[in-house]
Amino acid sequence: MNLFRAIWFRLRSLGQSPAVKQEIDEELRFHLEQRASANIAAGMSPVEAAREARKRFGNFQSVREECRQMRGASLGEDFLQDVRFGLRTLCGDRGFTIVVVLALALGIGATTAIYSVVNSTLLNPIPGAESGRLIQIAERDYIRGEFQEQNGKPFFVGLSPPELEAVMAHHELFEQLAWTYGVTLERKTDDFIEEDGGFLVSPNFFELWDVPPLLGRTFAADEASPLDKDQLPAGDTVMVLSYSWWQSFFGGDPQIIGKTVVLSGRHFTVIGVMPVRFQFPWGRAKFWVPAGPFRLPPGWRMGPNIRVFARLKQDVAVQEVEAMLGTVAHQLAATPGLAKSYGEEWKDRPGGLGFWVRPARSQFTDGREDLERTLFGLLAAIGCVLLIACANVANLSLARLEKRQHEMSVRAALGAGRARLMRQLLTESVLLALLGGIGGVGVATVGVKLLGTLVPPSMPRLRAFQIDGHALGFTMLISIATGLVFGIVPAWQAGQAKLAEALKQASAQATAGRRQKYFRGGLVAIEFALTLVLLAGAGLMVESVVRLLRVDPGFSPQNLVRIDLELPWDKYNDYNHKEKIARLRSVLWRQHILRIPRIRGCGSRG
Amino acid sequence: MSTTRTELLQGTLDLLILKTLSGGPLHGYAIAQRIQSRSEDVLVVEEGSLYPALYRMEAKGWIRAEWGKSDNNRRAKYYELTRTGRRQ
Repeated sequence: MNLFRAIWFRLRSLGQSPAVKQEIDEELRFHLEQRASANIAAGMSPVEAAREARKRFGNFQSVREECRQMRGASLGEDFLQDVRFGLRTLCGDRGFTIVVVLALALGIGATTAIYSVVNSTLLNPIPGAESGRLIQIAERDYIRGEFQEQNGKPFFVGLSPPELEAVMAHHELFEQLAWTYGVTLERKTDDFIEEDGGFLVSPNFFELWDVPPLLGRTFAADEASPLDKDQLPAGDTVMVLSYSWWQSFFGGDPQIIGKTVVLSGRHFTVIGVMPVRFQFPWGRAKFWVPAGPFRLPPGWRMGPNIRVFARLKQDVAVQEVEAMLGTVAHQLAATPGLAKSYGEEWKDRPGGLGFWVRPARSQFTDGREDLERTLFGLLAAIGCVLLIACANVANLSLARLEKRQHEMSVRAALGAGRARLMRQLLTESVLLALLGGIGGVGVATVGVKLLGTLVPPSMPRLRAFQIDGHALGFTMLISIATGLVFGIVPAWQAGQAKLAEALKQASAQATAGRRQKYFRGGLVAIEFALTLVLLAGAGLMVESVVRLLRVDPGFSPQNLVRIDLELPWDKYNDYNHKEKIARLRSVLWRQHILRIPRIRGCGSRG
Repeated sequence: MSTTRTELLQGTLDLLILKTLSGGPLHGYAIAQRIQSRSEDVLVVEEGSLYPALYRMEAKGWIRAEWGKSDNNRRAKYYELTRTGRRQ
């Protein structure tokens, strides 16, 4: 309350300084006039009355000053004066200003850029509130008694249809439960059959991630398309496109909504396009189709490849889900029907049938150790750069202050208090930091774009690479902290110098000068150390890249070309048409490929 | 040393002002008159020093100021106690 009031007073006086001053003057004058007229009434002459009133009042000027200070009128004015004066000196010392602002812009901008990218890919990959309640569920996967591993982490895939059904029955634990299942559809062109990879998803898939479409709409709850025995949509249905496919295949057609695409003999009506940032569960997804439920014909089997994501209800703990999954595993293992539709491999596993749960964000970060290393390494390096920039700026400020020592002593002699001088210097450095911060936002915008290209396109993403609120707050924090850090040091030194001036000048300057030199020497040493760390780090990074480039693949990759051949599944599937495929292959080799001039040889696989 | 004495003086002045204002809203000149008459001219303060004190107390939220008409029909700033001020 008191703080608020104080701030309000200051603000008011900042805005209407002349009015506040007038009020004070009017009040004080009223007092004098009242006293004077009382004196006249007591029998004094007007001149005498006025003089007596002033005498009783005391020093009018100093009372007025004090009142203004109480009202903050003068504080606001001082601040504006500081800012104006600061801008003027900065403009006057252009070389210094440009160097400092550039150093800061680079430091702040690069830090912001790298932080933005790290934040949106690794730290907080899922947008929206309470992403901590998002989990992923999968069947435990063992091979020979061990977790099947991928980069040292358990291999985490999904559920099979009967398992999904059993888990979905426990909707008392979940606010939403969505699944996704990879699907490849064929698209006939004049010469080829192209394969397009996308995902069958439950209709609530987009709701779970809380990302709105760029165009059109996403799926309604009743739009799930039934599946046929090949787990493909049984008939014509709707589809949402990914941004990249919309751009590359449909040329970014703004009238795309309502048009149809024919894939694998089915008509898909486009109802929406997702924004560029939505690439899930895989970066190269071309489309999403609402589907379900999975119904396997008797005797048919399907692996645990349905990825399942859920948002827990508010008061549900992960332990409750784990307990439920334990019961479900127990029940399923006891059901004779499961072996029929699913196989019996799980019976050989050491733990039997079981499930595990992990935070949904692992889908984004697990198996990304390379990227993690690169980005965090860059973050550390850029942090060093920022520190160097700060030390540099502090050093420059100190050097500049030495030049301004004369100015400072003159101002001190003219009556500027130590606090007033320190405030002036602080204002200047905060101004510099803010200018640097503005430049930094510019650098960051470019930097984010560049860094975005470091992230592999296959990586799942829900968030855009852009300077988000977090990062902007981060910049402002760094910017102001930097200003304070390199502002306080010189200001403190300035204060020291003033004290020293009270002593005999010659000796005082000698001591102050030596202390300053030590301090600046220390700053240079820190800068040097940081630069060395950076150099060594950069050297090691280059070294490992070079080593990666030298990896021997075991053959000479020069002048080799790979050709992929897609065949219609119904006419050439592996089970029934092995001979047909072999015949096709030999015809292709002998009559087509080897007849191309300058082809020396060929081989095939699959 | 000198700071404690001014603090003491300030505190006394604040107390006197608060006491005076507990009778109802008054303008600065009237407050000075009341304090002097009550202390029977024992307390000789420069009248001017009253105003910084008033502004300080207003900033603290103890008193509230409002422009009004004085007895002789001139614009004057009246001070009155706030609830926080009453508690002091």
